[in-house]
Amino acid sequence: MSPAFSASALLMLFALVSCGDNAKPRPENLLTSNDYEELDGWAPDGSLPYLTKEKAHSGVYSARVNSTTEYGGGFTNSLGKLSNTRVTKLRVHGWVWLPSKDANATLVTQLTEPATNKTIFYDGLKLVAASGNKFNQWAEVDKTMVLPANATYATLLKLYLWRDQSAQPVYLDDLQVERAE
Amino acid sequence: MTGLGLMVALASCGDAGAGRYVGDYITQTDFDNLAGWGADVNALTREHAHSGRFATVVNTTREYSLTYRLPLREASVHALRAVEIDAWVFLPSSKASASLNVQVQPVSGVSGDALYNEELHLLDQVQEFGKWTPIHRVFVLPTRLPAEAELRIFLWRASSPEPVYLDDLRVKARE
Repeated sequence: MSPAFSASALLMLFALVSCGDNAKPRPENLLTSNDYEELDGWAPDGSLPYLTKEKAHSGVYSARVNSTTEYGGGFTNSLGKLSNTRVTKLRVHGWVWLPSKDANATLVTQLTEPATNKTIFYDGLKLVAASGNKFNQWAEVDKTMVLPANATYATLLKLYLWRDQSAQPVYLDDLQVERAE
Repeated sequence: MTGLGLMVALASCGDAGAGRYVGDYITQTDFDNLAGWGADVNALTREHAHSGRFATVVNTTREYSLTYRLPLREASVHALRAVEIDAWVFLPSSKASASLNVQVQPVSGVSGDALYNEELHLLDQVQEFGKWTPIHRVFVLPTRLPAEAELRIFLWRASSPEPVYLDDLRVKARE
């Protein structure tokens, strides 16, 4: 390998490292996901109260609920905008950090009709049990649910972490929402 | 090896006199993780996207794109000398006279007399239309900006009669 070649190869390497595109492959059944790394600064008021750098499963940010933040990490979009095909089963997967069994927050999955604001589906995943009673560590939660047949293109899917009865802060990171088969 | 050092400096996108990039990003987004997650969905579009499914847009009904806004002290852990922006833009034609703006407002949430406002006119950066084009610019900020002043980054339609799209925005902190 000539010195000129090795230098240009090295240059290419540095260019890739510092200026490269970090394209992420997107699984076909993935409807949406978030590691909470990109949100800071982009809400209508700039910051989102639930974003925190106290803990993170990946990156530096996670979503947190506590005594001053009742809801966090939330997502809302219509089923039709999320998926080109009908979603009959939904898989919700994420990582939660609970300080103790008293931190029994809930991960809520909800379907509402925008015209009437009527809730046609509600699932509250209690995180203490869902995490397998794992505390002071990141624990995986995973749930697949069957959506009602009357859900339409316009039906809104809402997902959020709810403090519920928890007296302690609860963290959520790397939330993934998939169309399940 | 001096040549190699120079190349490394070039490869790290350096501009002398505008601070140093030491690895911190102010923000980087492909706008896909924002749709539905609290950002204004009307500022996001699936008409064109450089990566993923979403980009942000200005058009005749939308004067400003989705806007990044945070106090300087939250945007960067250290005092900023400059912000270095890499992004991809899509201009339909030579009439698409939008600009990428970096602004610093003295009071968060209030649009008053900016402490800093710099426009990158996209028509000066783009020679080919109807395709995604990378842009790059270092915006050197004034010294001694108050930490509570709000940094804003956005597309401005200006007088463009046509929509202009922005995707894969990466903003490096130069300290």
